[in-house]
Amino acid sequence: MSVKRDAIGPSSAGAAAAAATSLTFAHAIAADATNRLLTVGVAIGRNPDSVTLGVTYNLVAMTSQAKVHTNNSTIGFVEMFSLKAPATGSNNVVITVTGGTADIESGGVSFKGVDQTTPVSNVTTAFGNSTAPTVTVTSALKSMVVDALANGSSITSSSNMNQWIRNQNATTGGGNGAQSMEAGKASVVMTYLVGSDFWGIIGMTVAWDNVEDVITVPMWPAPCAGAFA
Amino acid sequence: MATIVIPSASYPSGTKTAAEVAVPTGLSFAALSLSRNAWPDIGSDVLKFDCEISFDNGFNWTFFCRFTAAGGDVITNRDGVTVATASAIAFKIPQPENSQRRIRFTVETFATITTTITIDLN
Repeated sequence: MSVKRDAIGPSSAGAAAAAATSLTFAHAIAADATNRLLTVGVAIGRNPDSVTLGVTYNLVAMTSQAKVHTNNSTIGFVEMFSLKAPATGSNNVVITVTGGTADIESGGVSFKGVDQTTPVSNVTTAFGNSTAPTVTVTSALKSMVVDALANGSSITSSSNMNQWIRNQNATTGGGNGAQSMEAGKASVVMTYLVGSDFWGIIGMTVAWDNVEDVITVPMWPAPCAGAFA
Repeated sequence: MATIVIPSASYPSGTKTAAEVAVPTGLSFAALSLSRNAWPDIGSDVLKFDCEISFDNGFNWTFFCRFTAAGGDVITNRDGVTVATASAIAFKIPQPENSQRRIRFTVETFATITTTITIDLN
């Protein structure tokens, strides 16, 4: 009927590591979820932030969809990864930082009912220095928009459907991270309330698989053979 | 809130498993911090820190989260000067009403490091 959320990993509080080179957490995908997509948002705080990320789920490399530096600076960034048809069950998301040690905040959001040919589109980024990180994403009915945010100060709330928030510190330009989602329509505004600071945000459309749900309604009493002849 | 401190000690290379820590009911968040005292820069990670969780008084354990860290002076702050004094991991603990929750952790070191381990539960 439309793209639906499957699960959040590891929880609505996300996960975080300070002065680390990797972070690992579990994400459980329902066994009966079909046409799946996993997204992982990673916020990085480091000065300078000249590090690169690699993310795997169940040892399978995830694809980077976009990366944006907070306020176009060099003290933090957010990067969003995706993987279509991820394995079901509880498996590990592993985030590896190459080129140095960083503060990491992350979490995952998985979806079902996703187009497996072009699962992700309209990837849009924005950055700034304010209390209201915002990105506007072109989308469509029955699709879903998901975002990932990094901010220098604490993230208070999302104006959309927040999935996870992890506030770790205010000492970097990316010590706090979050992900939210919103049902698709022609144009979707993703926005947060944060402590005024450098921010970077990525939004993208998760496309519907065009498969309508089939609901089987039993008839009782069962019609006799030929009853409708 | 509960705070557990494992006093400063020098840990040679190898794997150490800490004793289980009971998580009081009502608490739902853990932050585990390792002070970075004498962590040598060996050009790769000096530490792998694994957390496991049990919901049945320690009969069954499930992997929960992991982080790794390198040694040497680490600068992450926006001032570009301040050296990180700790490496840490933070996560939510499920089932706050469960009185049989326990966590334990395993530290694998790849060089001799000195650290104080602090566990905050709240």
